[in-house]
Amino acid sequence: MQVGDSGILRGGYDCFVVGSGPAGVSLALALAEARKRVLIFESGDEHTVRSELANTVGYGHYSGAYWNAHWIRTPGGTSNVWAGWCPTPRAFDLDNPAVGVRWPVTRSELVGYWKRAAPILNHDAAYIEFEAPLIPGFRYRPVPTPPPKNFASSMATLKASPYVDIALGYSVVGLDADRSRSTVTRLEFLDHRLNTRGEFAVTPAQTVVLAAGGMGNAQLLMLPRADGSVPVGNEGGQVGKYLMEHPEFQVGGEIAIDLELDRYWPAAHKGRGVHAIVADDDTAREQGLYGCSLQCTRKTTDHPMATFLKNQTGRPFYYYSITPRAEMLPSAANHVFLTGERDAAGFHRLAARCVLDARDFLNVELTLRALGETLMRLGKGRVRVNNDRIYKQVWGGGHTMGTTRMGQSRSTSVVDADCRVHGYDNLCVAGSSVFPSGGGSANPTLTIVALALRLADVLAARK
Amino acid sequence: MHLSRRAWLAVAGGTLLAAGAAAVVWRTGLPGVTPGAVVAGAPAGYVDHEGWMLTPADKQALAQASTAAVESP
Ligand SMILES: Cc1cc2nc3c(=O)[nH]c(=O)nc-3n(C[C@H](O)[C@H](O)[C@H](O)COP(=O)(O)OP(=O)(O)OC[C@H]3O[C@@H](n4cnc5c(N)ncnc54)[C@H](O)[C@@H]3O)c2cc1C
Repeated sequence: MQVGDSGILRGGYDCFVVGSGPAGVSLALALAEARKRVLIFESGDEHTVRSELANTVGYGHYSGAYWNAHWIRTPGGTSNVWAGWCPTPRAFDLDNPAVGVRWPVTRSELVGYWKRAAPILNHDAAYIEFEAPLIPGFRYRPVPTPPPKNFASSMATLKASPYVDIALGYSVVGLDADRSRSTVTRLEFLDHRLNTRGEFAVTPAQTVVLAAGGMGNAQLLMLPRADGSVPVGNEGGQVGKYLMEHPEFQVGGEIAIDLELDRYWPAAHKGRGVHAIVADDDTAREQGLYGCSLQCTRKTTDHPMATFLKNQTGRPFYYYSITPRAEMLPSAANHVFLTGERDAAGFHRLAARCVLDARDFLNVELTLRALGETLMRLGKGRVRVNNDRIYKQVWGGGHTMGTTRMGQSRSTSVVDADCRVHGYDNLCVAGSSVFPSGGGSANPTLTIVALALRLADVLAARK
Repeated sequence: MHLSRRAWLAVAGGTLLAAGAAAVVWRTGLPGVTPGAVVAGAPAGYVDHEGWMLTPADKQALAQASTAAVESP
């Protein structure tokens, strides 16, 4: 049922979910399946994108209005514009002590949830782990590109559910907690259509889940309080820190190789992925590399380098341009913070500082060079490293990660391994803001949905 | 300002395309970082040809091929 259609709320909710993007919708539907009652708040409505509420200023490598286009405030959230790519992080991407990366959730646990998340994202669970050996030291690991699921299309399912109410055009604008800061006690909302505020008392048995996107989750845990006390959920002062993107470098490299990559992608899935090469775990460890997927497109046999190598060896060579999509290491210096300016809903405008480390650029160059040296040694091809496209032009995937990271304690993170805000019984976070690292170069949404399903299991088990 | 949903999504999509094509350009210094793949003191295992990592023999063959191309009538 939609609030506003009839103005009637069914009440008796087990869970309040803030946001109707992939995280919020997946969580709500999984909870409904477990017969838990859910109320979803969503800033946008069927006719409106509340872009004025996503007005963030970017500093560093992702500047100006960069982040605004990546936080779509309308039913379905940012899935209204996403591309649908669904790779998974490798074991190495989640546990790489050399660069200080260790997720509190194991990959083997995630695999089961990725398999459940795959069909939700139009993806085939049988292919979530697909990869094949390519040459010694490197693997063929294509990025699956199922048709992008727009979660705006899930609104009808949500409205039809006897367990879900959805409040479209309502933003959550305030959270209160008890004195001991262990329980959320009140949730304040703004009805955009009527421009009026309202509130729900939250009991200890009810849970509030923030699924408001990488910026929105941090924003809600940084809401200044009238009495000047620390914002609810930010008692450890870690909210907003460790902001990350996935840097990408258009034609950062080129390759001429005697292997036709199309042969590696399973026949049943031809055309539903982007070819990509990754360093295997041993190569990455030896060379100090981390997440970098060398995505190969625009195949031709006519390129001068392919022709040259063919003339030299008598074998056909295939030329591809390479767009590396990579990982940036988490850093507390990269953060989201409040500015003094306020928007129509009373939120402080956000600023986002995100600066890549020298190592993040080197990681891309050295991954390409390691591939180039290996191919040369094996006589199987050559690699070109386009220096300026790596070091002087960078773009990103539209992925906002790490602002409420997962970890062991309040002094270094915001949520625990169950995505519960440290110290709170009934406040949780869903979305890529909980990622402790970029998860390699893997686009985040399959893992976002997987973690939302995992959180639903935790909450469903709650008495 | 409340743009209609359709109008806003069109604007956002357009911005992303334009931004992707232009890409952000900046300059940065990389203080004292040495690529790990280069073994200290040893020469790199490749020669550079306009960014291509080649063997010295490749480079020689390419040079000969281009000289031959220039010399041929
Ligand atoms: C151009 C582009 C391409 C992308 N391509 C890919 C891809 O190929 N693969 C991939 O994995 N990822 C991709 N992404 C990223 C993907 O879109 C996000 O990871 C995903 O949408 C995040 O889901 P979410 O539910 O956490 O947040 P969102 O989708 O951002 O949803 C958050 C929702 O919360 C609502 N909200 C926020 N604050 C409040 C509040 N206070 N009260 C009420 N509601 C609120 C918002 O209106 C929004 O609907 C892409 C992103 C962009 C921009």
